[in-house]
Amino acid sequence: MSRLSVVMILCSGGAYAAPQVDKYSFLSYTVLKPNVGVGSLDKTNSSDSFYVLLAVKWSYLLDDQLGISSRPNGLADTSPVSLETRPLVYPNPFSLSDGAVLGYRLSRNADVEIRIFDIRANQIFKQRYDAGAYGGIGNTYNKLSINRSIFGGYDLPAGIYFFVISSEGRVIGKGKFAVVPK
Amino acid sequence: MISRIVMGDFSRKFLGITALWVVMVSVILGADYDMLTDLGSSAETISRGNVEGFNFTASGMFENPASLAKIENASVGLFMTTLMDEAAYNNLALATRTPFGVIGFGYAETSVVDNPITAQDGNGEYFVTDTFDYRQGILRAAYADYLLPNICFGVSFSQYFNNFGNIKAAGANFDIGITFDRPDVSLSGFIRNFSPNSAIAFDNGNGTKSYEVIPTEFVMSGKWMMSTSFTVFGELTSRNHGNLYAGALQFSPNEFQDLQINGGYRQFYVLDKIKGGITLGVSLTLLGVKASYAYEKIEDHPQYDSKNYFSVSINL
Repeated sequence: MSRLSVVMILCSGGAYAAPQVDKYSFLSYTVLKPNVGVGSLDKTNSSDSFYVLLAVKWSYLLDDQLGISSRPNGLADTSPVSLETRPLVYPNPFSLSDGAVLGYRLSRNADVEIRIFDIRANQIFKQRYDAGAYGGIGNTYNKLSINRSIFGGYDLPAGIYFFVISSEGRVIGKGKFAVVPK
Repeated sequence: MISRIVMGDFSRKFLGITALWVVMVSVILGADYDMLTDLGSSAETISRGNVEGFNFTASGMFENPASLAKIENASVGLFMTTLMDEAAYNNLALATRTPFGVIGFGYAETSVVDNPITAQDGNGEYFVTDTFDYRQGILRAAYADYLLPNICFGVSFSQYFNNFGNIKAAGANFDIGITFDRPDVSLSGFIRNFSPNSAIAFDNGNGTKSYEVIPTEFVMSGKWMMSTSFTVFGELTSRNHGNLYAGALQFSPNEFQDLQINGGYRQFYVLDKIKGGITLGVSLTLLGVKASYAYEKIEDHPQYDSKNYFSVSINL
């Protein structure tokens, strides 16, 4: 749930740098300078004081379920997403009728795309998972089922298959699994 | 009167056997075995849309076995590629002419190493306990000869096997083929896995077995030399799913016929859907050694965008 908060930051002594925040957290900011008006600063006079009024929309503030409550300032983590464990399928090898599970742990909530390829590099599965939802949850061991239903009911021939996990336009992990007949 | 009765009996038996064969093919259920030959068996053939039947080197035994008959003395063929830096494909074929026809032996394999065997810890997370190497292969023996000056016949026997660590699989079948040649037009037809009720048996290492059907294919292809420089290829492959088409155009300069530049299109199954793709390649023959390269685009992979194939053959 999003909450609206207002933060007023006062700076003096010639510094006018604002806190480093990401674009998702702030709606707008206004720089106020005595006798100057909104939106202008005298950058050549380093002794000027100024006021910065920030209107903030916090999308993930102090939400334990979304995994960023440990950050001291409550801001969204924008560091590059990575896998904190090697992505693995269990059990492996397995029969498609029994099924298996792909498990992986993300460093933070992130949009994730998973593709599966056969041994001739043909894509046989592709699915996107949203950040904070099933498959895209950070600091949690995500588990995704691999069974006949994800391939449209098709029974894969025995062999080796390869999966690739991508996020934010880059590959963050990959692996392989073996399918045997029932 | 008697000949009519005899012919009538023969016709009924022939129709009965044919009908039984068709029923046996059509009622086969379960997943089809993944055929290693679906990738292609030489860069030269792949560059021509994988139109099979016109590879006149030892590697031709992995296509229409009748094409071996065109070997005059002896031939060696080698094919290799690695896909996604993981799956290594290789084949080696040898063939020689004898007083009784051409005989050949070949081995084709695909392998993927270091496949993880996994377990689950107390937190419900997975870890690797061991690894195994995967190997899928074909051992092939072939024979071919001329029936008539422009008709060749061939047969090959295949032993299939798979290894998934302690899970082993094996099966066998055979191919039969025929080719027909005219000055500008050649035709090729063969049946891959002629025995329709053949299966690969997987021994799961715990006393149980499971099976996959070895699919039967009918492959008919043709080649037309439009001129000394341009040759057109076409193919129809029929499997129990349906029909696949392929075609290619080959260019060979009049001044340098040892160079062949190929462009083709081939269809293939991905799950139960038919996909298609372009193939390109080049072959160069020098001092009896033919070196070939083929390129094929990979769709939708975030890391790899192409497959590259290489083959070398020597016809003595």
